[in-house]
Amino acid sequence: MIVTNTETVAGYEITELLGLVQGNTVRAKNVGRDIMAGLKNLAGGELKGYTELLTESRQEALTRMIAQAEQLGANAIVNVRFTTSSVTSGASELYAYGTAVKVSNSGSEAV
Amino acid sequence: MNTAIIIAIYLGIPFGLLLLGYTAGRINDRAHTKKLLAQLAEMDDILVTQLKTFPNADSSGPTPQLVCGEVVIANDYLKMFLASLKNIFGGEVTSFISLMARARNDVLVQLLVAARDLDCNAICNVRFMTADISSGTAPSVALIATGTAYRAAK
Repeated sequence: MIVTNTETVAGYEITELLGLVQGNTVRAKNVGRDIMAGLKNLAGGELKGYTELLTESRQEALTRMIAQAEQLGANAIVNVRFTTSSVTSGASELYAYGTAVKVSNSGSEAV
Repeated sequence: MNTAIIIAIYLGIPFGLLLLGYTAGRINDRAHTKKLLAQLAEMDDILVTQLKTFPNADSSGPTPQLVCGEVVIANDYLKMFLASLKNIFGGEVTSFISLMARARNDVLVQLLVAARDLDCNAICNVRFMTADISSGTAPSVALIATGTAYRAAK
C-alpha cells in the first residue's frame, strides 16, 4: 500500500478512483500519565507519555484507513490528511482520511 | 511563630516552583534546542517543500511514502507564570514562542529522520498541525507533522 499526502504519486499513474477512506480513534490519557504530565509541567520538557499516545493514535487511525482501502481493492491512498479534536476532557480523537486509488507504474519520468 | 511558618510555606512553595521552572526549564530548553539545531544542520541536504507536486522527482527511487512526526512538550512553571503576567497587559507572549519553535523543529527532525530511513532525500507537502490535548491544568503544545518522502534527482 502506497500512502502519501500528495495528490499524485511520483513515478505512478492513477488509473482508478475508489473514493474516500477514513480511520479514526479516540484515546484517553490514563491517570498515571496525567499525574506525570502535571509534574513535568513544573520543569518543562517533552511529555513522552502523551507523545507516545499521539503516535499510537496516529498509527491506529492509519491502520484502520488502510484496512478500508484494502477492502475496496486499492493499492494506494493519496491526499491523506489528519485532524484532531478533543471529544471530552481527557480524551482526544485522531481522524485520518484520504482517497483510495489504483495506481500503476507509469514508467515515464515523473512530473 | 506558627504564622511565620505558614507564611514561609505559602511563599516558599511558589518561589521554589518558580526557581525549579527557571533552572530545569532553562536546561531543558537549551539542551533540546542545541540537539535539534545540530540534527537539522546534519540533515540539511534533504529537500523540504510544502508543494503538492514532487519537485525534481527521480522515478528510479523508492516509492514515495507518508512520513509523520508528533511531539508533546510542556512549558515550565516560570514561563507559565510570565505568560499569565503578560495576560494582564496583553502583547506578545515571548516565553511561548521558543516552545512552539522547539516543537516545530522537533517534528521536522522526525520527518527528516523517517525520510532518511526510507532512503529518500526529499520531503514534499509538509504540513504542521496542532492537536489540543491539554486539559487546562497542564498547558502543553502537541504538534503533528506529515509529509511525503521521495527521492529527488541531484
